[in-house]
Amino acid sequence: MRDPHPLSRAEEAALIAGCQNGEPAAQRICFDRFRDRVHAVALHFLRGDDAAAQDATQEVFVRFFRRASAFRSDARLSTYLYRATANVCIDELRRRRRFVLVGDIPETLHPRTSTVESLSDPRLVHAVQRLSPKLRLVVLLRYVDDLSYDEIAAAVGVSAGTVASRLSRAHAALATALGSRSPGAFDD
Amino acid sequence: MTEHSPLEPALRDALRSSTLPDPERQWHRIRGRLDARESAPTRPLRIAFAAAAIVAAVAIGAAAGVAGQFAAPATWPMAALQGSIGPRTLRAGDALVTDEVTTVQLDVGRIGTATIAPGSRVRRTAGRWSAHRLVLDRGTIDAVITAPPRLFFVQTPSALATDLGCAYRLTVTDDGASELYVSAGWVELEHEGERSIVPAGLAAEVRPGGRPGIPVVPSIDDTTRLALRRLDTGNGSDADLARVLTTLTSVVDPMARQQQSGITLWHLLQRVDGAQRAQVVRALTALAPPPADVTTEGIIALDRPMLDRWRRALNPMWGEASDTVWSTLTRRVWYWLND
Repeated sequence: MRDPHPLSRAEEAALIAGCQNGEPAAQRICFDRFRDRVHAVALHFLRGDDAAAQDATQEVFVRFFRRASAFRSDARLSTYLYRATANVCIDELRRRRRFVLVGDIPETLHPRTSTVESLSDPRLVHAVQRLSPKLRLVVLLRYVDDLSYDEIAAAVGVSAGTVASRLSRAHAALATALGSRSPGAFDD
Repeated sequence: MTEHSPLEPALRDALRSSTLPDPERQWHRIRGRLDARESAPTRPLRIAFAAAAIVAAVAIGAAAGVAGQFAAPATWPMAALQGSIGPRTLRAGDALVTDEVTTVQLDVGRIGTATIAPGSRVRRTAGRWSAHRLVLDRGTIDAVITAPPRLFFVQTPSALATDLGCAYRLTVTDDGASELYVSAGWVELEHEGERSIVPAGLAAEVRPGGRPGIPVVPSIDDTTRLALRRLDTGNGSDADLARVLTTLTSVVDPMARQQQSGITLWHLLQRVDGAQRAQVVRALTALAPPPADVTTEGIIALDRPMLDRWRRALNPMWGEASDTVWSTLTRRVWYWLND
């Protein structure tokens, strides 16, 4: 999913300038380039809830375009976009309290597993979705779009060292989870 | 400093395999929100005027009672009408999922009830102090709301249903289409700025990515229904129009002819153009002549105030029968505060 035709710095600066000017064409290019990656991060962060992930994707781009005038022209587009993605996902997690399941809900309609079974490695995806939010987010930013530690740090608002530490813990937790539980790295 | 894990290839494959469904619809929604924000009056000005209006209302004393009555409480109790669920409540951020046999009645704050059918999924979202908001992802809601308009909203994948003081059934089908039937009052269906207002006794549907359909009586025959749908999407022939006009103007009951057929024709004239629009206007005029200050030329040109006056004459909403200065002012303040 990493962009096979990455923009040059000049092209990216022009795209940011277009978004800052509110140009629909620039906004559309930005949306088309990043929509699947933003959606993938939101989908797995929100534990497979595709309805919520689509809402979150929409919210990411609306926030991103509304605040574009505050961007520094020399910054990376992905930094701002993934920062918006992280904030929207965390906001959504804070807002949502629980699912009220009434009666005997079949697995296929269960809100938390509605999309896992259709993916390439359901067991691994399920393990990622069960990581704690802090570890889950860095894993998603790292592997959905191959962001560097510095890029992840800028998006999440922590140091690169903290990113490295969280990824290390996440890797260990995932490796263990494919066999047994790793205490402290998962939440329910 | 970069760590490598043997899980990396598997993680990349697993986490990159999804794509955003229906990206065009998502883009249109994003643009709709950006455009709506750009065209809205500046918030500080609205707040200033709204504050002045609130002072006036509070001075009379009714506003305090209204606020208490219509504020959205933190928890909405629910009970099973079929099946058993025990004491439960729904808070902002919660999602409610029902199985194939359980029907749940949800108290919508203090303003009404929403009955959630089996096999449904609804989410409660946060809003302003008075806004009672649900998202219907699939299944059916039967809502009965006993409050002023624009306090209860249901968002579906294809439209936003705004209660205008009523009772209705709203269904989201497996493909994301919305089907609405209003049994009392009115409901507004909106999608990307396009609106249909549906009165009691009429139904309307919204296909995913499309605009809200023309309200029509559910008992209409399929041939006329399909003809109406073709006219709504710009693909209707003169034969389709003739069929629709004949069916709608031959309704026996005069009240139904005016209040139901009239509303269908009122929406239809805005969805067709040229000679077809002129024909619809003639048919509607013969069925229920417009008020004195509404002209044929104005309707043909889709003059908004004239269209609204004719619609009120055909079938007034709650509160529209009275046009005193006070009722108009309170209605406008209410709409503005809850916009």
